[in-house]
Amino acid sequence: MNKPNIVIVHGAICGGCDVALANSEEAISKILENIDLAYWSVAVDARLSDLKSLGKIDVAVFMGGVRTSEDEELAKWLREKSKILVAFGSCSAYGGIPGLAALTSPIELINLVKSTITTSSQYKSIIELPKLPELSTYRALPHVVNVDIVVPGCPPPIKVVNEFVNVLLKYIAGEEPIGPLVIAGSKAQCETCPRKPKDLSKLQIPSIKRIYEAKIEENRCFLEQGILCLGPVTREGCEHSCINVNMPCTGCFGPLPGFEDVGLRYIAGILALVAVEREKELMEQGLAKILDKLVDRLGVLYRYTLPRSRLYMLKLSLEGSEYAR
Amino acid sequence: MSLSSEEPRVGVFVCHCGLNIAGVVDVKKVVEEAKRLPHVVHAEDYIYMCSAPGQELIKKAILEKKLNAVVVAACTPTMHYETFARAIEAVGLNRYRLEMAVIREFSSWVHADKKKATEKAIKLVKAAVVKVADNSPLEPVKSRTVRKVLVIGGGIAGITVALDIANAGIPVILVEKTPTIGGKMAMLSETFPTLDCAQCILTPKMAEVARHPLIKIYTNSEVVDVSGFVGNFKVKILQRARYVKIGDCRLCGFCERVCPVKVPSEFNRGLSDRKAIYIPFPQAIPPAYVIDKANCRHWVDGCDKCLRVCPTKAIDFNDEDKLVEEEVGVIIVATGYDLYPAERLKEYGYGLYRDVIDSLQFERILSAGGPTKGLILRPSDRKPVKRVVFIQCVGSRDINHLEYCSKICCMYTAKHALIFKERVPGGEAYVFYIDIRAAGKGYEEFIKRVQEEFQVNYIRGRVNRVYRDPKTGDMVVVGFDTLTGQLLTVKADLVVLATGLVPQLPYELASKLKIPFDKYGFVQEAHPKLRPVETVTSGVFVCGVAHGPKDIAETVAQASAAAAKAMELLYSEYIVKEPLVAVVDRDLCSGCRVCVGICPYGALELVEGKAKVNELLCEGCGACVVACPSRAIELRNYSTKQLLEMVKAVVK
Amino acid sequence: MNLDSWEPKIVAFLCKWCSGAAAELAGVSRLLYSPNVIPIIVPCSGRVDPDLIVEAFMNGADGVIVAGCHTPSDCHYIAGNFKAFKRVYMLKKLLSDFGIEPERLKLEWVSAVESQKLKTLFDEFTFTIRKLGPLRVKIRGGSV
Repeated sequence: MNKPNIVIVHGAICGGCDVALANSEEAISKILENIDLAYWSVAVDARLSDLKSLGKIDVAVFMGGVRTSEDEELAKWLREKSKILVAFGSCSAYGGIPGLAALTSPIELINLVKSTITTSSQYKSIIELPKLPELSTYRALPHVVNVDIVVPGCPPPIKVVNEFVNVLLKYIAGEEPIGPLVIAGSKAQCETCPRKPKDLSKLQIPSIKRIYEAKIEENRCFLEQGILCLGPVTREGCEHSCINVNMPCTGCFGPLPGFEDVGLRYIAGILALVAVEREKELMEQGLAKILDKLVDRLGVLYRYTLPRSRLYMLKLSLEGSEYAR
Repeated sequence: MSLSSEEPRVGVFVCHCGLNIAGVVDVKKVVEEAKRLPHVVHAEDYIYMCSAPGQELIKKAILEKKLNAVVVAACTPTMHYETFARAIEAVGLNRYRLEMAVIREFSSWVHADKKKATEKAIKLVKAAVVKVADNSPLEPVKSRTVRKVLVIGGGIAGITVALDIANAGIPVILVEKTPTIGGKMAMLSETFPTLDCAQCILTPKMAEVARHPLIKIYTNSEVVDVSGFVGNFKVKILQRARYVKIGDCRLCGFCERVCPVKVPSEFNRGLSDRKAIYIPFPQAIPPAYVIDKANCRHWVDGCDKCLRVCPTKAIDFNDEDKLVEEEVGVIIVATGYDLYPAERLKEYGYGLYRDVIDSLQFERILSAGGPTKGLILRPSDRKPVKRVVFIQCVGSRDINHLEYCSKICCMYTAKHALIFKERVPGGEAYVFYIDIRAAGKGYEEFIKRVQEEFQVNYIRGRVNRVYRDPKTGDMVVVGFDTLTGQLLTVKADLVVLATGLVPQLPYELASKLKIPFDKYGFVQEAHPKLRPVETVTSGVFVCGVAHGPKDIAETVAQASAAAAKAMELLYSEYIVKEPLVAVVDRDLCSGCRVCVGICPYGALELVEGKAKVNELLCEGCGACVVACPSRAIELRNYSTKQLLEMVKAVVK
Repeated sequence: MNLDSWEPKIVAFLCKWCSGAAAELAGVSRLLYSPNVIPIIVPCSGRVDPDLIVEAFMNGADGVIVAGCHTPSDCHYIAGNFKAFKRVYMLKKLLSDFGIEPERLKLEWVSAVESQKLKTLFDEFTFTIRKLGPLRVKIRGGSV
């Protein structure tokens, strides 16, 4: 039986991507019909040793970011062994939310974990952390190895998961992968967004408001109401699932093809447009006050994409890291 | 020559500039290093590159080595870009395939260390080579212009512009909102400081406009739509129905006599009434009556008394509003002002007491053709005024109302006081002021004359209350005299408020014209010192009080300036522009509209959901290029790719 | 890296109409200043993309200057300087978030006649960068 096989492995995960994949009956049934599910720790009883003993791997799906030395090893091993390597989910593709920890040194992270242990003083010296794998520099999968398919989303929506499986089947049938293929649109959310500015001919951003400060008007562009939506710098393809329920886009589908650093694009465009009609009135001081309303810069600008940002690359290159590109 | 697809073949020419460059920078070394740069196929040095033999070297190398791009390492482009551009054009190379590395002003002249100056010169040459290799060979942007000017506003500003331009042979369309041209100046009695009769100097100009073959007047009309751009504007003018055929009206006035409807007269600012069929003032242009549909009874009960007595049957109840389309090359905004609503200053009692009036109402009282035939009688009971109080800065210079100074009130109040004293022997005039602003020619002398010769009482202080004494019927003005430190109470027959000026430009029209205005509604000029009549929207100019408070002399000067600017633009058939503008790749554009708001010139707009740059309006600043979240916009010959390469070239 | 022989590398983005003209005037006036600063002339300070600044740091720059026309009204392109201000303001904060001293990026307004101010800017900034040392990154909890 020469069915191609598929393995689904984990880096630093939350479990959401497993749920996302399992949620799609169409995807699961197509996979089970056409491919041999050789390894998926949530579904199939197998150990890492079983994975390592596989002769060949046709498709490897990597969920989660590359956090520990184990993850790194696994990623590299998979790239060597597999024909098609997939970065599944925003953590794998761009770094994801755990990527925000990339700026904290591993030592400080361990210390942080240790500091959360509470116990009465007589046991303090006895408490030991179990042996943990070494924390390495946090990275998204494409920065460790070359990737053939990227499935973005936190987690990837069902429609995208189904499309991914269709692409997979085509590749298995022999179609040449032109990688990396991103299973998302190449235009920004704005192109198909159901919310519009009041004046269709232009966009104005009078101020910046935290969500609790704004009385949100439905059907009206978030940015015009002062709410920082990442739609203009984020790929479409999610069918605006957040925007449709009154939540501004937070950027989980990642940057458009023209750039990698979401934050730099955002400050170049959207934040430069803030209060543009009142610049001469407000002057630098007034403008700075408005921009200061963005308190959580990294959380808003780089929520899912920090490890892929240019500034992170700069940081890595200054540290002499081999992973700076 | 299609060059951007060819392999770049760059020639580098390093100038010694005598010893100016060569004395510090090792020019031979620069040539050596230049030869090693990618794309460079020729490099040489010469003592004076800009000289005739220097230019010949460049031309020769272009032809012999088949160069398709040139870098001249020398002085600044400000000095000699044009020189070298013409040289390369002479041998068929496009002028935009030229870059200059400024190794004189930016290196040899500012560094003492020869080694470092040479290193820096080499880096500057590297950056220039990298940029020129990617420059597109562009042609200037050319656009045909429509040789016609639209003037919005028929006051003294609009009239002056129209006459200046029409006398130069360019057709003008003059659009005025009210049924006659003339504006506020037609309401005035005399003008300061010469005390010329306003109507006497204005009406000849109005008549000139009326009979000028190149001026087309639309009165009772408003501009309701503007599209297009400099040289090619398409405007829609709503010409409201007059219900009187202009050519047939003989100004006999029979219609007015029989009309049963009376409403307050706008021209006399409510001090008298007019009929529903009326002429604003006898010298109105066009010389015809007009029916005020809102108050006329014809559409209510079929009244046609006026039609029956009209000897020429000029009245036409079937007249309709018309939407007229015109094409023009330039638009001039001259929409003027109105007075700030004085009833908002409750302490002065305007609107409450009929004997508290504003300055334009006083002008009407002073006018021989006004509601009191020039006799100074107070509105409530037509009692002759013996004592008048003038209050300056009503609304102006007040953080609660208008923060700015309205400029003309000190002068016209002095004028009012002078005329009053002339006409009312034994009359007393009081002026409450904060400062006296009299900066024009003869103005200071005029004020002195009013104070000393005409003995008008000037009190420095603010008025805190105006009310009527119910027993005597006198107006009572309570104010503070800051120079004596005393509270004063002045009884008067009439109180005149020098109310502030506010602009009349409607917000919708300003947005359609894409011109910015300040927080008070005055049109924002392109530069306060050097470009006072231009706006940032190419092809739209402004003059008169629409730009800011000013008197008639300044208005006329500004109007002539705007006319000159308009004629400059329309002088030749074409507008020619530098092609270093932004370009949108529609395939990459997501229609997010961020660029539209960033552009200070309104040069970007959405066309079929994607952004498009108007090359005639784009000035090439590049703000949109940086702002585009999709990186769909680039700036010609200053692309992001070029700049990235230049940064790498100077830093690595 | 041999710190004795290290020389700061500084890129200065100068706008054509104001700071660039000031640089030309400095040349004409023969004002001597630090050769560590290399100018790149752009049409407007509003043309300076944050990516360009990061690219400069990526390729070896130790400091970056962005010099434009004075606010509120000097900008030849009306309000490009305000855009430059907002971008640099936010970029400085991001640099700090990523462990890079925000003082390495400086925004200054220099008019076309302020050649002396430009010279002082270049000299003082070179001194600042010399004190800060070559571009390094401070990791939270330790330093490189």
